[in-house]
Amino acid sequence: MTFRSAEVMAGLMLVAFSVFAWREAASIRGDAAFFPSAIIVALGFFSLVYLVRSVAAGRRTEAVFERWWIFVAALAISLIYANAVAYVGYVTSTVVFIPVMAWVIGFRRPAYIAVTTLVYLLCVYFMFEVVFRRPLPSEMLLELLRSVR
Amino acid sequence: MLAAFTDALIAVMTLSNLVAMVSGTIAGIIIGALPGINVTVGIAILIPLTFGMEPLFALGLIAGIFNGASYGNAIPAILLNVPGTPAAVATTFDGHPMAQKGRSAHALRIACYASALGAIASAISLILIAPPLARVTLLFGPAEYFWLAILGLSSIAVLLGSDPVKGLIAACVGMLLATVGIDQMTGAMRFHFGYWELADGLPTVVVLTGLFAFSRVLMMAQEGKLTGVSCEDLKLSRDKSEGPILKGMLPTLTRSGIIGIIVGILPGVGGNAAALLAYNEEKRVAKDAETFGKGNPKGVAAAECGNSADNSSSLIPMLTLGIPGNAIAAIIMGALLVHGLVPGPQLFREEPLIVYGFMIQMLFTAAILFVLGGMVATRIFAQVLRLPSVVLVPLIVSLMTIGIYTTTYEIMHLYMAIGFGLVGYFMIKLDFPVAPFVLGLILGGVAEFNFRVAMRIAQGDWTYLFQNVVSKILVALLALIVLTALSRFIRDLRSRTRGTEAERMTEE
Repeated sequence: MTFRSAEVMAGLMLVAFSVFAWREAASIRGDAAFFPSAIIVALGFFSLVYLVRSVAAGRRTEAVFERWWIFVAALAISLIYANAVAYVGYVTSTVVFIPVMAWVIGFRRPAYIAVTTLVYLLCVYFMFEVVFRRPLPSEMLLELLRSVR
Repeated sequence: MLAAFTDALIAVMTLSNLVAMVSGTIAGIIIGALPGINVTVGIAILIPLTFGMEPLFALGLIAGIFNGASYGNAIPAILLNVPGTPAAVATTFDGHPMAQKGRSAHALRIACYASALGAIASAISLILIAPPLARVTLLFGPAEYFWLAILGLSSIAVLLGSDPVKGLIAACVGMLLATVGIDQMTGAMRFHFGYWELADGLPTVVVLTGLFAFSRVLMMAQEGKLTGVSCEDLKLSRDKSEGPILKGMLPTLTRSGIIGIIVGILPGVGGNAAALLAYNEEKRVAKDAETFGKGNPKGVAAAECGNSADNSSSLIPMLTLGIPGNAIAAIIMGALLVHGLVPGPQLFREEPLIVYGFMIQMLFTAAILFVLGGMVATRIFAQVLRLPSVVLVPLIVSLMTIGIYTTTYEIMHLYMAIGFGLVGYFMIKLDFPVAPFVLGLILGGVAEFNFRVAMRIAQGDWTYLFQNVVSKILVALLALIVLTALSRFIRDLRSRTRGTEAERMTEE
């Protein structure tokens, strides 16, 4: 995708967002609607200016999103990790997450990653549990083992 | 004031706070030197982690990171000619030529001491200017606060970045998001889409962390720098200079310090402008102007002193008025809000220990740089450049995740951080400035609340907003900014039209 087409797309999305926000603001009653409505009008105006200018602009042909698959993979892994931290536990998720993320984005030195993961987890555990007494999310594996016993 | 200052000094001098300041400064130097991340990212990651800490401990860490990173930026700028942030660009002009001549160690020590002196001067200006200014601002009413918020926001939106339209769009979106949740005055729910978690509005810390840290992580993953700098490139020459490092540089440091302090107070200008202005001024008055750009130590000192002198002074509008003048001040304001501290004149009255303590911490952490500027420390800090930046990607995501999650244990906040990370990523990719967005989010509520209070006082009479002298001055400044934006927009439009015509003619 070229910079120009990305700008046109962003302009269209901003105009659509302004229309959507305007419709939402219409459901707000009384005084509370005035300020957001005024901002939406300003946003809509500037978005239109941006869109028209982007359409009329000269061709900026440089690519905007290079290596987009890395971006998608990093985003997806981060989302899975966010859920895993909450449901599986922090340590278990992180032991898997750091090597997987590093591998996917191209860093493939297993020993380096293993040491980094270990040192990082020890630091986080020490800071959270020992220094700040802020409990890390409970580990599902440990809970399971306890219930089996 | 003196009693409050003495109490704060005693509070700051506890062992735990000293540890926080020293470790914050070390972390700041490392963050500044690290490829790919900067002070905003560093503080954004730290804020959720500070939740539950003693406020002075947390602020000590932040002060250390802020001042430490100013010097840390100079390490890659001097050794590799790679400015980690725009503020370090001016340091490369003479710093790297010095390194090429085998004087890298000398250049780094000049950078460190000049940074420390600039940051100390800036902290002193903060201590001297902020308390009396806070007393003056107690006289401000809702109309003045409304205009001040709009002025602060407009100046950032228009002056920051090359495109005022993009700045204004970012500011509008930020202000609109500030209206999410329960309206303070009527209790009406706004833009919650059925999610009652949004009743209290968007959590500022989560938005800031996502916007600055997660967006940066996505950029780093895409850039995919798999190797760090080699050992050979990091070999520091022995510093053979004799006598004091900054000998004969007092006028340079004085000029650069004053420029940095003034630039810091102005909204939307920033450290890069301070460094460049200080450098240019030094070159202008120098008798040996031709040696600038070829390894003149005064060039390094001017750039670094100017850059660091903007640090504490940039916090003056935020601490006294609750109006942050740049992205870092906005992030630090977010950190204060996490601890239930609302910046503004009332903070000086209600929490003098914290606010004076923070100002003293800014001064102490600047002084700590002197200790850390020794050759052994510099050699160690330079080694972080060997770290491949992709290794930081999973570590930052993990730290960000655990920081946010253990603040409230709500998974919704993690989704929000990732969502705002995406917004930040696309903004960076399309050259939208992020600072107006953040300031809109913070100042949107201030502007709306004060506007509506003013309207209630005046019973709907709009002229009330223009009655006070201060309001009139603020409106005049606002008009000036709008005119500047308009002229830039027209000039930009003309140059674009010319560019398009030239393209067409070339094609024909």
